[in-house]
Amino acid sequence: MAGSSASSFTKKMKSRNALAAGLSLTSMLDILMALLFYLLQNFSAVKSDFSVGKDLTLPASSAMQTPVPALQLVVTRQAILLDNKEIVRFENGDVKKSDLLGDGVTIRELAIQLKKQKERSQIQGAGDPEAWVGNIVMQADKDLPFNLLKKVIYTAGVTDFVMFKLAVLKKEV
Amino acid sequence: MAARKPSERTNRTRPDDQLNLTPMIDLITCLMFYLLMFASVMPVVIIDAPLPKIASTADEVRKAKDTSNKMEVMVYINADGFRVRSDAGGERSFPLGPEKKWPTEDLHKFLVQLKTKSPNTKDITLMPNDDTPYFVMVDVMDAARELKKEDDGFKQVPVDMIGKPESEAFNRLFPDVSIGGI
Repeated sequence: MAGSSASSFTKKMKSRNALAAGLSLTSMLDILMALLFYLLQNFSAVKSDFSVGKDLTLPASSAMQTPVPALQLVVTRQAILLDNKEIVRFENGDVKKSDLLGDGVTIRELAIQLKKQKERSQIQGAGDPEAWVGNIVMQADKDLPFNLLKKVIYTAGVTDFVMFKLAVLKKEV
Repeated sequence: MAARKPSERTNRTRPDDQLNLTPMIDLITCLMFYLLMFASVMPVVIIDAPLPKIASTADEVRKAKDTSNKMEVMVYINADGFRVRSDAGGERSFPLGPEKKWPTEDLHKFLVQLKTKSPNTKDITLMPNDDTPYFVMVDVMDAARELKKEDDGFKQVPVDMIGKPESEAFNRLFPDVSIGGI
């Protein structure tokens, strides 16, 4: 009799201890809250569909202007891409002569694609060609020489993409 | 009043005195994944470098011809360093520093001096050599864009203007960059 009451007491104590040993979520919640506040603080409310191209390192700058939606022109060490589509492949770090027009500066395929983009944008822009401003954002590798970039910039210029913007990484001050 | 049986007292269920955190954790986890997905790992900014445009309207032609109170500033970039040519400051060279360091600090100080001679001038033209790396051009644009805290004439932007377009009226040097030699 005495033995059975002792064993039931032990069972009760065990069940109470089992309740107290439940997972404590308070500390985990603290960490999550701290992370949440950090992310909220650094979250940019500016809508941007900007993505940095692969296979390139952008130069750093102290500029503050936030990216705007525009046609994306990416110049890596190997190729030129327009809206993530490869247009021209380089040979020995430069545009092949066969890819240039007679003036030796205009990149043929890039000019054709930019003209198509311009026509497409003008059609989409409520049929008012004057409203089209020619915004273009260039992402270029930081070590590319001006000799190569000037061909890209010139080609953009002759196809009326004159509102040229350079994408750079924000320098930590 | 009937007394409770001892078995009723021992087997009574206690109300849960702990706050149920599970829905809160679910919510925070969802929010965190959303924020992590859209958080920009590499903060990208842009620099305006509009290309020269042929003036088509009478107003554009008039503006292009209006050079009063303005000076022309050109920065030539070559393998030896920088050379600045301007109407007011003549010509000045900035050779590469030790370990081939580009003299952007010296260039910035000189541009600050030039600005005092013609405060209305905002334009600067970069004339890079064919072999000039792109990052050097961006560094020159940075040196020419605005005054730094340690420069004479630096004005603190009022707190209510920080991050707004009005703040761009402060501490401007030569923010309108053109790339020449194309």
